[in-house]
Amino acid sequence: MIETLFLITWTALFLMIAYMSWVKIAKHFKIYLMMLYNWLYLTGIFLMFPKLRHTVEYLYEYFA
Amino acid sequence: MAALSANLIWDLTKRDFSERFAGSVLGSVWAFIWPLVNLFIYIVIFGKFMGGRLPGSSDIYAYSIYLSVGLIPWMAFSNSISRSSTVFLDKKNIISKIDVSLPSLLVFINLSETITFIISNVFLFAFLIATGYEFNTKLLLFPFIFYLQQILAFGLGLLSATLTVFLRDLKEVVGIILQLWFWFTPIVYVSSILPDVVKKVLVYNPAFIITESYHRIFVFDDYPVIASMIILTAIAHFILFVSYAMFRALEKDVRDFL
Repeated sequence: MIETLFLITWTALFLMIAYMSWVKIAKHFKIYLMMLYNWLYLTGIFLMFPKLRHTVEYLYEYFA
Repeated sequence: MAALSANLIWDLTKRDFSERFAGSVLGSVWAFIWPLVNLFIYIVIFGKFMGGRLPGSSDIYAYSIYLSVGLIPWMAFSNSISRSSTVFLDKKNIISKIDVSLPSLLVFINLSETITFIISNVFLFAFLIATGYEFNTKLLLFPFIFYLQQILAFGLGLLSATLTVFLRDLKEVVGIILQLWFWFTPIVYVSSILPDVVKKVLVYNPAFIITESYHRIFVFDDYPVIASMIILTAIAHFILFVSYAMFRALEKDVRDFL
């Protein structure tokens, strides 16, 4: 559940940022900027996804 | 540079499928038959008749799953690169007639291979369900690993497509490299059978990191190695950046040559 929620939120966030950049940023920067966003997007997923459940459980125990 | 047109990419992808099976009675149905036959070979021939087993596993389908989750993505990766390497030459009649964005020609190849990959996976997942496979949340990473793999394929494809225009022998070189690359990656065999010296070099093989990730989430119920995935993500994007920058620098010459 938490994993699915994370993937949906993370994807929606990057789609929003990418769309705003696509509309506002000068044309020849767009492709390089999209590469940068794409890199951050995938890095975020591979970095956070495996630790997600453990982190949520830790925070739950900490605040409970 | 012409804009990257979504309509053009979609039209080319549809035409790619219709041209591949043009004149046949069953038409696009063949797009479903081929992956089904391939999966039958992986599961029944290799898994059942040849008795392929994974070391340390008693599951009779473990090797079939190991083979399928390695081979299906590899086919998409390999076909994307090999078809991309000649795409500018193959589509030169389109390029010379309309002001088309050249990278969009590679996007349609990646899209076309992704559709074939999805069709194959529909059959694979049907097989997994039929055999009582226990699905886990780690499988949610599957599309993202495939996405990373196709970014790498796109970067390498763009590099070879640009250079093949000037040096046509590269098409054959790409084919040979992909063939060697396939056998240097533990897809049909397990990495544990390799000598230690080869295992040390293997970690520098990007296809190994990708294939190992598929094997870990599907067969071994484990997460991919985080550090390897992050390094590979950076490398794949760096290759994409270099390929695109080189393409931009040579774009005028590419069009003149064609």
